[in-house]
Amino acid sequence: MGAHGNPVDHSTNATMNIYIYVLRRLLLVIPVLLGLSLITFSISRLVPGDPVGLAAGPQSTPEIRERMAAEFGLDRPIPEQYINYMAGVLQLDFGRSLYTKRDVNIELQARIPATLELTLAAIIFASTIGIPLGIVSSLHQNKPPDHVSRLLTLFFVSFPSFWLAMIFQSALGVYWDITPVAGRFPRLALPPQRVTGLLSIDSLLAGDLTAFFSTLHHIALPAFVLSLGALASITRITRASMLEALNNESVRTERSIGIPWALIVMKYVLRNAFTATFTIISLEFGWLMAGAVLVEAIFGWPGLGGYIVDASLNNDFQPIMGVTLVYGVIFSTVNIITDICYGLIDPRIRFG
Amino acid sequence: MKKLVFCMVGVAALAVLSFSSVVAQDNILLYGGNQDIHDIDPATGENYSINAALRSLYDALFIARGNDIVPHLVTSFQGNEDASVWDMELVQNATFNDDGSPVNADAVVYSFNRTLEIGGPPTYRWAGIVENVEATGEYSVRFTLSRPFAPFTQTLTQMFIVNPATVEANRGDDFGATYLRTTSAGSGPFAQGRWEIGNLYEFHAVPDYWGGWPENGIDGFIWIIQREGSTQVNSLLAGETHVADTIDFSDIDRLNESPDHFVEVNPGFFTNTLKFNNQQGPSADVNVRRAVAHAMNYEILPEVLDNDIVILPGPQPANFPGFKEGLDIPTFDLDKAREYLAASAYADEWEAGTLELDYVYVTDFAMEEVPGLLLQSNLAEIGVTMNMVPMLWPDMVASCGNVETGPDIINIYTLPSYGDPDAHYYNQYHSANWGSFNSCNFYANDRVDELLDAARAEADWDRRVEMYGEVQEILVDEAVGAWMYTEAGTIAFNACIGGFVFSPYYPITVLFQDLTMVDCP
Repeated sequence: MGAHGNPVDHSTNATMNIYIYVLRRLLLVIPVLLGLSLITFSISRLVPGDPVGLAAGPQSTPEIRERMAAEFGLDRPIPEQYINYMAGVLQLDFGRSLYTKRDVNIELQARIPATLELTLAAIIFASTIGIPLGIVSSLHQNKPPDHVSRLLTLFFVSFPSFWLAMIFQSALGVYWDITPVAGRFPRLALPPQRVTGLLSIDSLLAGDLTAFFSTLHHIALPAFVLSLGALASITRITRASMLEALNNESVRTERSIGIPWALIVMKYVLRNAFTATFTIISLEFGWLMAGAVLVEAIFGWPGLGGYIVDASLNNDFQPIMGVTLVYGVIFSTVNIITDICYGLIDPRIRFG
Repeated sequence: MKKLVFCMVGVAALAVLSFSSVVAQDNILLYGGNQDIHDIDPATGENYSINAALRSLYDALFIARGNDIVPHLVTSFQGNEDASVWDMELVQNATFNDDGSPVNADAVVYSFNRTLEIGGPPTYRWAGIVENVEATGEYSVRFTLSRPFAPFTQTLTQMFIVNPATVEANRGDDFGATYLRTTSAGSGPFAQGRWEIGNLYEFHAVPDYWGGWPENGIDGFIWIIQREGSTQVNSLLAGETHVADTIDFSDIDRLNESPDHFVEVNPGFFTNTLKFNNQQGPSADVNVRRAVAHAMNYEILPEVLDNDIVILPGPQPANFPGFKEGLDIPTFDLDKAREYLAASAYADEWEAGTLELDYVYVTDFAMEEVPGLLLQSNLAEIGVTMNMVPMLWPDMVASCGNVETGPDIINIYTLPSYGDPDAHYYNQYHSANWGSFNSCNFYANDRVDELLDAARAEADWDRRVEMYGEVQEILVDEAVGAWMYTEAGTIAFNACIGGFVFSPYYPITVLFQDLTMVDCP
């Protein structure tokens, strides 16, 4: 009972705690992003190079280069450039690319959904294959299924994704003609009307099953290749956590009182083991987004990968800053969601 | 459960089958391009992919077809005696694709003035040269130059004509640059279709294009960005694309083995040079430069680079206009290199084994790294230490910004933008042009400056050839650089594609309006 004799509403308190927790985490994101912007800005300005000369062309005159530098504010002192840039960012204006002359916002809007969809598909692949594989492996410890699983994960972890991508692309795309070699959607067909930018979702929203299956057809191979490293990590962590949970005394007790083995595994062991797996899944999401650069290049995937590579090769400051900040926001968001999910998965975890 | 799975497989199969009927279209050419088309404003955009788009969406006064640069929007032209005033008559049936208005002299004047006003990368051809452009009739235009400039008409392949009404309607505060960056206002053979940034760009053929179409001409093309060479080749072999550019030499055999594909390999004017810093460090000494030039084994380059290259016979390709025969170019000769080192101001350092040179090249780029390693090994044999200095391209560009940061030796590719010796020599060897990677030699020679200025102003071709011949003799004598090779342009095609004619001015850029498609997959 409460101090005034009213019953304490624990669920309301818990909800409030979550809100406060989320708010606090969101506030913490601000200094993180500020720090990230400062570091990225400093690095991009301190590295040697002549991005203006590069963008202006090999035969540009000094006058043309000076005019271009002034147009992009690169003739101002560096602290002033940073302040101007951040003033723009606060208004969600990431500036203009020196090399392409296009607004970074437009480029990001065009490319983020492609990378996000690929990463989501890869993490779904990695989880739906990796978790069962880890469970099977742990339940058959040191037996053939375990050996096969460990060998596979070793293989996936050891081989670079770009090499596997090229092998799979040649085999499945060219020789067996099972999957498209490259692209996100058939080039001669019109994609579904853009709502989210995720083609699979947009095609479903448009009620276009043809487009939906075609999207899956195109994303299957790149997502699978991208998922392999994460799949291996998820499998290994699931296996290790499962083994730890299986060796817990409570499992012996549950078996001794006659609870069915399948129920013990799915309800008690897996739930206890899943916190670690969930952590690695959320971490892998970030790694996959970053690692998508090479896979995107090989499968002609129009995501952030090609954009950031071009920007880096041309010392193009604004896109580099924009992509870094977007990655920062996505990582932070995933981390917050992960922390909230911990509480849902494991009731022992409380927010405060 | 089995029924459910069966139904799902059935739906999926139907979907895929029905899809294949949707995608069957007319003669749409699918092109795997290695580079994005990030800017289609003729006043600001220029590289091989942008040129492919500009030549499709716009018309220029002149056009490069094969080895020739020929009139396009122009029906006739005449320069005065000293090549400082040019009168041109325009075709009278060209119209802009967006509103059907005529491409007339006013549009030419407007386009020229707009380009000069904006001052973007293509402007270097005319900045400080074109003084005035005026319409002398509805379809007549006069260019008045501030000084005689013989190769003027050659530069006009990059002067694309925009629709003044469209630009003015979208002028903004940047002369329509923001609008034209992604939207065409041209009269070219193609109009814009889908424009998916970072993914693909679609071009529809204009059926009643004033310039006409070849038999079996294409109905349009889609430029698909494919940054990876392996992706370009695999897409081509799988029938997902019909053409792919910048094919790696190691993939050529694989493609030629396919009965359905062929690769065009053409020697162009894409020239690789070792540029020596003529102003600072050991390479400022002409004898050191000569020694280094003699330490390169040119003959072995095709073998070690495993590429289709042509060794240069002098400062320019032999098939480029103005070539001087019989130049005394350096050959691989370490004894001669020793003689020059002994005669140099650095003889003491050389004898003490402390003579060092830096060789700058693009990080991990074998075509530049391998010759460097070869030169390093040869120089080591004669007691010179050469440091391999890999750099990212922007850093290399920056290093060429001034004499102090200019490397002793830097490996640079150049491509003349029009078919005249002026395009090759002026930006590389005239002392007024220091600051660009093209001029990383930091070369200064009054006689060469005088000849390059005079040749620009000379209308008589034979006289100009003489001047450029003398320039070449001086450059070779002073070992301003080590002229290495030209690299071939490689474009791969499905056998159903015809009509391609190689142009050395656009070695990896296809002129889509000339292509044909017959029974393509």
